[in-house]
Parts: sequence; structure tokens; C-alpha cells
Amino acid sequence: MRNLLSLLVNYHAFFLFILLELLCFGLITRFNHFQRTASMHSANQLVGGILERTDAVSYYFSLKSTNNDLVAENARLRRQIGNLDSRLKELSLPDYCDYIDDSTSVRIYNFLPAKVIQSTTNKPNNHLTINKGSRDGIKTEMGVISSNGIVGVVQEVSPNFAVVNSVLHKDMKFSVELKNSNHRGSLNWGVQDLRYAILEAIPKHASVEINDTIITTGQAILPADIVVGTIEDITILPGSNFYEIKVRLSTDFSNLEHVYVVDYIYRSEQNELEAKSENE
Amino acid sequence: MNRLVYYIISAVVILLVQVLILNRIELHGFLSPYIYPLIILLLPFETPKALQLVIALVVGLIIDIFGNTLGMHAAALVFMAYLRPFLIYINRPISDYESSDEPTIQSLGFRWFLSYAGIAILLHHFAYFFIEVFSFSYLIHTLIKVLGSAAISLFLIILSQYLFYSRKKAER
Repeated sequence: MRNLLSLLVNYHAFFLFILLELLCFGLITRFNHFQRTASMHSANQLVGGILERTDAVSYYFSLKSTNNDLVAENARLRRQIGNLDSRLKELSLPDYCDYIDDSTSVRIYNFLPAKVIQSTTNKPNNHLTINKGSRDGIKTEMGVISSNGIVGVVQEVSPNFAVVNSVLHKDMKFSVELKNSNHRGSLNWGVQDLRYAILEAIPKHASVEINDTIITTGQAILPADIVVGTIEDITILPGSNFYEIKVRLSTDFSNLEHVYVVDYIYRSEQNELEAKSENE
Repeated sequence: MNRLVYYIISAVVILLVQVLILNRIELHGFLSPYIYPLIILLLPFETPKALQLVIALVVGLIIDIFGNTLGMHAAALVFMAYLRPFLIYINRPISDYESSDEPTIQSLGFRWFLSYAGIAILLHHFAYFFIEVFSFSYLIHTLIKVLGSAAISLFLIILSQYLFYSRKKAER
């Protein structure tokens, strides 16, 4: 007994070291495990408030490029309105026809603007914190896009803030397709440069070319036809029926400021129905 | 007492610089400097080992709370703090340390500090980045990250030593 005590006293630093490391690894696995990665600390009131305040300063340094982006987006939207107006005139029905199929005129996505107050791009799992939360109607698993392309999926929400799993996350997969041929594949970042991601599961018989555009498929979380990026490099894997395609992401994650959270209005209805059919 | 106040103020400054400025810096998209281990490196030689570990845990957790990485920085910093007495021992001058020595450039010179802080930062970054990936499957990528970030961190730490040094001199 006395030997044990003297052992403990002599090596107290070592035992304390082991104890503290166990504590740390407990925290790591408790708060950082795979999909439950985003521990909610940057979304809590105090830390979120401090981050928002410092972001207000750094925001000024990127005002110019943010402005340019917004102006470009405005211009594009205006062009689109013009196009749609003329299309609408072409398509409008004669007066004697009073039956209108409304399946295309229903709005099924809401876009909630938000500002990024903290983001990382240098980790294996990257997150953004945005300044909108459950009070603004944000819920988990809503998609997030920017004016340039896809950004990620909402992971956790507090009353005033939300944490978003960015595309730059080693466990996130997005369903995407080739704009030209509609072949579907899955996009995963694969822990590399923040400008690129890897597109897998495109079959070899599909025609792919460098600079082809990749878009979203529109499966619930994100609306269809949101640009993801362009093809940078194509590898044919030996002994496989699929291409491995390197995609240059259209979103620049290093200077994201404004994003839109996508609220799919029929989500709960669709989820319920799908859950029901799975149970049967 | 004066020394304690001076130490606490510099620790707070280092924490603020790390959290508010350096956490936002990402060179080439993946190199990130961490200067907060300096708080442990600057502790006086005679600090009890157990106290060093506890301070390391607290500092690490503060950094973690701001970075959404609960436990990771704390684990890496406790690891470094545990090995610090060993680093002090292997870097000892031929005539051994004197009681007035402090682990700073102005007390023990540039070469001593470079080797002491250099090894400590490498150990810390190595531990941190491997805990962060939690696997060895991105080995090369992670090693590049460790070496690149450690070089930048070490440069900033030595730079900060010279800034503090000139201020201290002016006070006297």
C-alpha cells in the first residue's frame, strides 16, 4: 500500500497527464464524432456574439469583392427576368382557355439570406457559422447555396445562429449530375485543396469532357440546376466501370460572405411519406 | 507578483491574437499558424509539472471553444506540456541553468530558444493535426500541413519574442 502511494506521488505528473488526455479524447469523441461533428460552441450566445462583432470588422476588407458579386448576381437575375417575361408572353394562354395547370407555378423553395460570420477551410471537416437561426425559420438539414454555387447543409441550429457543414467536409456527399447528359454521380471533397472536389460513380459510357458543367439533381435538400462546378480533370480507374472526375468548385470557400439557406416547403410532408413507405 | 501579472497579461494577449486574428488565416487553404503554445513555453522553469498540465488543459479548451474543435487543441497542448520538462532538459546549456534564467530569447539566447520552441511546436502541431484527421490515411497531406504550419507558427512566435523584448527593455 505504501509502495503504491509513493508510486502515485512520485509519478503524479504522469498519471495526471494520462487522466487529462483521456478527458480530452472523451470530449473529442463525444463532440466531434463523424456527422455529429459540429459541436455547438460557435453557435452559443457569448462566443457567437464575439465572432459576429469581429467579423463586422473583417467584413469591411472584403466589401468590394462582395459588392461585385452582388452586382453580378443582380445583373444575371435581371437578364433572367427579361428572358422569363418574354417566355411568359409566348406561353400565355388565349382568353377562352381557363384551365391552367398550376404544377409549375407553385413555389416550393424559399430562400433565406444569411451572412457567414465564421468559416474554416483548412480542416478535414469544415464548417460555417451563419447569423440566422431557428428564430428566422432555419432548421437542420436545410441546404445552403451562395450566388456562385452550392455551399453545404445546415448541421445545428440555435435561436440566432446556425452551423453549416460545408462541401469541404470529408463525410459529406452530394448528389449531382452532368448538365449535358444528366448522368448522376456523387460529389465528395476528399480532403484536398479547397478549390476542388471529386465526382464519383459516373459510368464510363457517359460522354464527359473537360470544362463540362456539373449541377445539382434537385433531390429535396437543394433545388435542381444549381451550379456545382466544372470538370477540371478526368481519370479512368483501371478495372472499374466509373470515371473519377476532378471538379473545380464554382463556390470560392475562402471568401464566402452572403449565402442563401434553402427551405424546401414540402420537406416534412415528403419525409413523412417516405418514412411511411419504408415502414411498410 | 509583478512577474505573474505580466505573464497573465501576455497570455491574454496571445489568446486574443490567436482566436481573433490567426484562426482566420489560412495560407494556401490549409496552413494555419498556432502561436498559443507560447503560453506554456513561457512558464517559469520552476512551475510544478502538474500545474503546467492543468494550465495547458484550460488554454487548450479556450482555443477549442472558439474553433469548434472541443478537446483537440487541449489534447495536443497537454501532450506538449507533459514533454516540456524533457525539452528543457535536453536543451540545457553546458554550465546548466542558473536560478535567474527564464525560457525566453533575452535570457538564454536565440539558438537555445529556437531549438526549445522549435521541437515543442513540431510536437504540438504533429499531435494536433493527427488528432484532427483522426486517421493515418491522409499521411502525406497531414505531414505537409504539420511542417508548413509549424514553420509559420515558429516564425510568428520568435517575432513576438522580439516585440516583447524591446518593450521590456524600454521599461527599464
